[in-house]
Amino acid sequence: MPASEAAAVAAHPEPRGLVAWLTTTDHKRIGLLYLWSALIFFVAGGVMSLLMRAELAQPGLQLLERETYNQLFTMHGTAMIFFFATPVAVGLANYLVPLQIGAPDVAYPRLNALTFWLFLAGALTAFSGFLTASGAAAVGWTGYAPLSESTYSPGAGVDLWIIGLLLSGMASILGAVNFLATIFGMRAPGMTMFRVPIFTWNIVAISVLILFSFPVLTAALAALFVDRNFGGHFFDPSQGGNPVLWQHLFWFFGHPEVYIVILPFFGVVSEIVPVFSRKPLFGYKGFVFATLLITAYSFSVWAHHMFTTGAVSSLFFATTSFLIAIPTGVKFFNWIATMWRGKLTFEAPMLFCAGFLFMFLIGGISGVFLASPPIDYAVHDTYYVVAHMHYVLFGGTTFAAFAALYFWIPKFSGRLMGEGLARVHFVLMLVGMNLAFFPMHQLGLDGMQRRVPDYPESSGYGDLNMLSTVGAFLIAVSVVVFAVNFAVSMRRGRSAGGDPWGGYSLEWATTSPPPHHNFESLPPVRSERPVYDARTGDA
Amino acid sequence: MPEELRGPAGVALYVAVATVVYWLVSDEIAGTLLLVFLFVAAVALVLLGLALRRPGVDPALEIEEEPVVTVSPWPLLGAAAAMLVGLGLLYGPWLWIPGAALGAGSAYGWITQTDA
Repeated sequence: MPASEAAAVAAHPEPRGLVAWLTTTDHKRIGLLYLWSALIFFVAGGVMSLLMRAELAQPGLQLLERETYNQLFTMHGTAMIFFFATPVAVGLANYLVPLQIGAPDVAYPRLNALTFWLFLAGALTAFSGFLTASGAAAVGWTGYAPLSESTYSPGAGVDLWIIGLLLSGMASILGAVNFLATIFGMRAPGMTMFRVPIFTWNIVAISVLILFSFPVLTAALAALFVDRNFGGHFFDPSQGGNPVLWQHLFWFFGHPEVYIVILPFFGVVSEIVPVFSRKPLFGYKGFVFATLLITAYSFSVWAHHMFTTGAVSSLFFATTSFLIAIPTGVKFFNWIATMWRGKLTFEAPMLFCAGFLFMFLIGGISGVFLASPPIDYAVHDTYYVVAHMHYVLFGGTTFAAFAALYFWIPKFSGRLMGEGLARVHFVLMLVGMNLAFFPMHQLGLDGMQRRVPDYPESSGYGDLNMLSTVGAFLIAVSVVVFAVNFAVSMRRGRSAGGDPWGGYSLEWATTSPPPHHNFESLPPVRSERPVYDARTGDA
Repeated sequence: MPEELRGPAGVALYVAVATVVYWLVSDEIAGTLLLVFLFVAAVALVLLGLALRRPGVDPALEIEEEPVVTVSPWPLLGAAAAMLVGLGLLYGPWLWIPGAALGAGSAYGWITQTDA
């Protein structure tokens, strides 16, 4: 968008009202729509997990029928992965990427709006399975064939799940194209790629991952739909199909998806830690190269999810899975080195970053164990895997997502969040998450299978399950504390000003919230910290 | 090579090596084909990027900027059309009629919209 046109548009008042939100093409409003939707699905997924944890607190079936339990864990995983973790990152990217590169909007604003509405249509379609006679999909978020074939899972739930994921996958692909076009084509003068903020670099990485992995998921889902509805036999072994092919296709998407979910939050932490350490990020270029290495490596590790099929090379996938720990370790080293001898302060964003480091480290270490085939054979499909993925995906993304919200809500709204309630939120969430997920390691090692609604009393799993359930409800209380804090802060919070934290990147060079097309003027960009340079007179 | 294309080029290079190694150690066709697909996709992206940057490139290949619009109903209606077409696969082709009509209307409105 030429600067003259942007200036002309900036002079127009911002449209208000419901219709204005439904028809908006402004990247900031679309970002907020993504964030609100993601948080609603987070609550929906969370309620499902509370129901499951309540059922598992004691041996025996007390609350749920088996079929209902199956639907709940399927839609819980689907909601958290596809409709919370991914869109919350996309929402942050929508709001922040144009600001961080000094652009007035994304390259294709209407395409951006289309991606949001496609995502929402997909999510609602997948969830609409609950309204059908046979209920929602009950095949796990991984949808393994032949369980997901119509022979074993009749009814519309799985079909709606497939159509929903196809729609939201289409949204992801279009969004990735838009982000790449924006970041490559609309950077402010002076902002070379090696001056782009790390968060934006991570959005480049996940856009590449999406472009290469989501089409594979789309193809797999289309093939499954053909199997179910049009007499296909791609994955049905009784008709000559191959269920292991589904696992290949799903995990060829599914493992990069883990990085699509987590990389933006690596970017979030890399934005926040330097600001609250009063230092530049240690090893900026090393960080970028580590991100690119993770991007490349992530395409060659998918079958570590399939060791127990016996149909893949354990040697190859164990080696590549160990390898990917190296660039991840580089990032940890960079974060710690950034904090080393910094003038650290622990406002809410930094507290949640510290929580992220702690939780993700535990998840990363248990992941290294799972990359070893002999250990994986022993604990495959047990609660050990559930513990690992929740430390990585829930501990990682949720702590970093709340760090991001505490850091950037003042930019979105112009008001600071309350620090006291934020600390209560942090403590409850940290304690709750470790109570909920740490016992699952032991449950898995003791042999408790995942995706079961019941276990025998003689198994001895009862105490650890009760502990885990208490932890899950503590997490729920912590989220309520956040909601109260948000509601109070938006009414009575202190004014944030343009730059409440002493930030480094360009979003802190404009007002809070920013005007319609973001900037009245831009500081010169001569390093990866242009706002710091302008503040200290280094520019 | 432009710095924007180093990422996909790195993916292509890594996957080329990984594909050969994987084929040699596993002799497994599905995974090898997936890696070949990824290599071809990464190379295609790099070649497309290079073509767009070459002086004298066909103007039709250049990325066109969108007109400045601050509000547009067409993305919302387009997504609704896509959902109807998708649901038509499950509940019957009759849903394709309103879906296609809405989709065509949205596409026309999108293309012809010039300002808010």
